[in-house]
Amino acid sequence: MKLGAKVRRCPLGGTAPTVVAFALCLFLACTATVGVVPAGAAGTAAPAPAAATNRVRIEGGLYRPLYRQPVKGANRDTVLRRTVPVTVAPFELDRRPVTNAQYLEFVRAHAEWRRSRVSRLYADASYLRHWRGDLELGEQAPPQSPVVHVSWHAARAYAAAHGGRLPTVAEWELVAAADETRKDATRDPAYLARLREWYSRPSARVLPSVGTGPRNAWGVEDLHALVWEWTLDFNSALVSGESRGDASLDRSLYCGAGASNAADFADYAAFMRFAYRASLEADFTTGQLGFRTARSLPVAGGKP
Amino acid sequence: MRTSRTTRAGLTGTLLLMLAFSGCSRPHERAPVSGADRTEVRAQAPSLFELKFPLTDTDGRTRTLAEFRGTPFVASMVYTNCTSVCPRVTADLKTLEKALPPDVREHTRFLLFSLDPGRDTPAALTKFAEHHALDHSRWTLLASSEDDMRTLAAVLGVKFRPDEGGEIAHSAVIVVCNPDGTVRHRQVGLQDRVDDLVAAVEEAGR
Repeated sequence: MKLGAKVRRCPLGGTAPTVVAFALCLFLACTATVGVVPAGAAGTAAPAPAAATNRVRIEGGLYRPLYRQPVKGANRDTVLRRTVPVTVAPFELDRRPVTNAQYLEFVRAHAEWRRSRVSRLYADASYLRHWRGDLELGEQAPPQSPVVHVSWHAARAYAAAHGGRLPTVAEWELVAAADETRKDATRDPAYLARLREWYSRPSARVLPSVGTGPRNAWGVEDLHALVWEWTLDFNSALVSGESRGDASLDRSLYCGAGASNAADFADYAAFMRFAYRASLEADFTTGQLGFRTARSLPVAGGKP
Repeated sequence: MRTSRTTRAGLTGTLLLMLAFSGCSRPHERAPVSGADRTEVRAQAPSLFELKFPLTDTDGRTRTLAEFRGTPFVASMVYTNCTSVCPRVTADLKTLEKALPPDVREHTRFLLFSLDPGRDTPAALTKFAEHHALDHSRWTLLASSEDDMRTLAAVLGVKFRPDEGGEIAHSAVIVVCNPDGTVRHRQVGLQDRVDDLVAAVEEAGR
């Protein structure tokens, strides 16, 4: 459905925002448009088996959302805001994003996801636009590069066909907080500066291979420097459920971000991801947005 | 509309940020839908009837969306434990129902889909329908699997986030569909008036 808010020009000339908002706006506009570039060069990785789902076990942990959630106070009208850590249960996550070669195998087996046959309910007109044909990758889509121009619905279908699902925002962010040696590097200004640098680099016209960047402390690669990635609950950014039906903004994040509501404003890149996800719709496809799959693990005495 | 989705997504996000910092005091603002976009959507819109998954109604019977082909219908997503937005959405839909000319009302269906399949059993849905005095001949309450609920929410553009207390924060979205299952009108956020919805249903019925 393409019935939501549609924006055709950047409203930079509008009201006078704070310096912070202005910087974020510029930053987001730039990076969301031109995307990111990887650390390594194209085509240097050894070819991996196309069909392999190479998942890494993640022990789980506490993910601290960068926004504060409203919490009911003593009476109905009192709303407190605080950071509510999310407990992430153990799960498995793909070591690398899904590649063109892997996605090609998927559409071979599932004809309804081929470019010429996909329903407009599930993917917009630029779905797999960089492929040469329904079953042909072509030079814009090297086999080992991450597949892009895929919608949320398509990514979900791929994951389901491989016995998995998309990772949740909490799962993705938990793993993405790690650098090469620490599982949470987001308190380190040097790491955050590296992220900002990655995010602000212009994108290569043809995306390089997966697995050419550093491997993080969880054993997972390419979370930051290659493409943006779909999450299962990308559409979970909204205002509180308390008394309002408005979905257009997350006040619990944005209104206070310049002041006090944000849990950690230093993690600029996390804000950008949050804003980017909020701008997506499930049928959107772009040349900078790919995905990887996850799988739940059984937990003791609970549901899987 | 198709020149650059990436740019548009980026700019939409940018606008969200800008709006957020510049005007935080409009809780019920409706997402703008330009006339041009609505026309384009109509020209190539997919039908919701492509969603084939099974749904369970208040009687525990298995239903599909395609059963509602042939008449205009109004759809929303709610959960029966909700104490804030859902009763208001339901009240607005009832206001809409009353505001429709009798001949249009007669041929319009109201579908409420559960955002909480785990708890919204047929009994819970029945209780909700009774509590709100929903006319059984026009209203259908439906639950699906968790997976299919996510698909439906994504297609209808409903944002939601379950919290640790059992509440599900979600956006109030009302969708008016044509008899062929294509979307004619989508309202995001609660409104004080139902005029636009009435007009959309009347158009859908023509």
